[in-house]
Amino acid sequence: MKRNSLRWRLTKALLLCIVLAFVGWKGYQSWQLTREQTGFWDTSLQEIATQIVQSMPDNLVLLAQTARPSQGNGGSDDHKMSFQIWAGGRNVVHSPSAPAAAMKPDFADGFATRRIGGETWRVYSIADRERGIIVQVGRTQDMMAQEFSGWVRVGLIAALQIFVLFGLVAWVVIGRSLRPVTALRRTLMARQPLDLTPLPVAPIPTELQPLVEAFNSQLARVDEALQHERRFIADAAHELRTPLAVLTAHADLALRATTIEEKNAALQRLSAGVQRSARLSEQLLDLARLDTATDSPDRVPVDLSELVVLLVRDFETLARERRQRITLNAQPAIVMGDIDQLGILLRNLLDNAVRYAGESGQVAVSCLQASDGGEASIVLCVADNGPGVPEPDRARIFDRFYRAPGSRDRGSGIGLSLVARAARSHGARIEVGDGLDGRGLSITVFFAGVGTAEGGV
Amino acid sequence: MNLLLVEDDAMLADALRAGLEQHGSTVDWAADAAAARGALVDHGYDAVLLDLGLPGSSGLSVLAALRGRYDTTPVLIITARDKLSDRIAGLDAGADDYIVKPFQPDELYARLRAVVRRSQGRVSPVLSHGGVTLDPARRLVMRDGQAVPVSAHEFMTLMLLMERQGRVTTREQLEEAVYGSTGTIESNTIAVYVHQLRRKLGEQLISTVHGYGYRIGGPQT
Repeated sequence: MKRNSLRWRLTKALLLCIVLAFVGWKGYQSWQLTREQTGFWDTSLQEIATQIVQSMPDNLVLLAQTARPSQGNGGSDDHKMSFQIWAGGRNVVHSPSAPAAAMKPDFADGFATRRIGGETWRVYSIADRERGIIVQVGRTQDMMAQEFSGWVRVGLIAALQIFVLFGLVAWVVIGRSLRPVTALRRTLMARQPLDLTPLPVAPIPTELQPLVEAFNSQLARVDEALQHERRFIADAAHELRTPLAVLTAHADLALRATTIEEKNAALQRLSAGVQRSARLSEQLLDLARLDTATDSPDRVPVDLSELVVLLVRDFETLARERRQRITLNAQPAIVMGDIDQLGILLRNLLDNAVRYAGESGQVAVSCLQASDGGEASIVLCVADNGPGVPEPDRARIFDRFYRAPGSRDRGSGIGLSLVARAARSHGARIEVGDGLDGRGLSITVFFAGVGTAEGGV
Repeated sequence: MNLLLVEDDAMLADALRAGLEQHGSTVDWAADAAAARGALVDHGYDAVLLDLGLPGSSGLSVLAALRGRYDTTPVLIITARDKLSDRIAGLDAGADDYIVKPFQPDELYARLRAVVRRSQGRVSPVLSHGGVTLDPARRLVMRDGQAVPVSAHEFMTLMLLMERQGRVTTREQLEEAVYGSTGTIESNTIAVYVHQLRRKLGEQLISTVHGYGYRIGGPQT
């Protein structure tokens, strides 16, 4: 949890930035210091040497002939720098840390790096030829290193202070900013499972507001879905109870019947009622399955024609009883889809057609490849020659519990809504048109095809 | 007919048994997979009615055990699992047909008669022609020693054509063999299966006898 904490991430990032800035700064500084000729070390040597030369009295050469070399006292206590002043070929003044011999024995103007007495020196020599004065200044590498490490130490302390300060501030600010989120979490935890009232947006930092807004809009959608389900349960309760009432009534009639004919008639109606209930429960199950399914089902390549063949055969007995004729025209037709959802789609399309085609009716099923505009698509069409649905009502046939007016064979009004739902989750388009022989209804579903190796049959 | 009914629900089993006996069959009842496996050792059943949702283990294990012994007794699955994928899995596992609860008893009898009729005269030895072999018990089609995946319907189409090698088989005969169909449904599906079989097993395997039907082997090949 800590690894993903904003506080930790920000604090770590701060630390990293400060370390990087520190290293970068010190790197730049050391480059500035140690550049030859133009770096800080060298220019400071040069400046000091020049100043010493300029501050020497004009008669130094005369003084030098009588005086013994004396120790100067300029800037030598901290061993930052050593100098020697030569006049008339003698070392007249030098700092305590300066070596006895000339730091730059050739006395030529300019810089040099030399080893003197086991140490490495950086030296600079400057001459005033007119007055016969030569000034040599130098530092040991050791001194420079000491000085540099002193600066590093000071820098480190400063960086550490900045870091602690920043870290504390970040820690506290983030903690305080996230307090509304913690409060939000508590509010959410305390809510009833189906409390779908939106969350308050006001006390939340603006950065987090989109999150709350998104959550609220999700709540609104859930609320809508829930309302829908409640409506559905109310409708379904009615739909389920009615056929059960029919069953009870006919069973009762059968039991009370006095003649065998009456008994048979009642039992036949009872049997028909059972079928209706069976179909309804099947559809309600399908509905539950489709509603719980995700909108992007596990898609695999499926030969739609094989599913059609398998399911068309299920309607054979029913069709035979009604003396209907079913024609099937199928081609191998690969679509990407979920077998079970496609099964629900097909079964309900066929069921609807067989149901509405009526006695001696005709149902034509086709599953073909089409390629209009270069796009391969799979066209599934189920058409009947039943009474059909008037044009203005056609848009509504996919609504739940909608029934074509005047249809004697009462369907549940669920079947085509299942078809629409399954088609939608497969990204398929549905068209409703006239059925066979200029009457009836046809429902055509267009699926995106998968490139097949072979053409049609 | 001599039938084995594998069904764990006693009420449904009683009703089915009574109905089947009215139709002149003798019915043995097994209430779970173990009893079914026991009954299917050295049996004389004409067909098995198999429920998939058995206590303890799936009916598919009974089917697998049966087919594993190269026993081609027709099996009709009766199940509450109405998902199409379950159904395809059942057919692929070697079931002859699949009927979903609740079903009309008449539908069950019709399907049962169809699977028994289709199984009669079925030979269980491996059939072969050219480089293609078909193993009815293992539901396996091989071409030059390589297994070729075929759908249950394609398999049955090929099996009938192989059984009738050298003779012409009509579309009606094929439909009868594949679906136990009675002609209520007019379809081009047999042509589709033949097309698919040719694609998978070679164009030369099945020849079309125009106006009559299809043939494997025989004069022109």
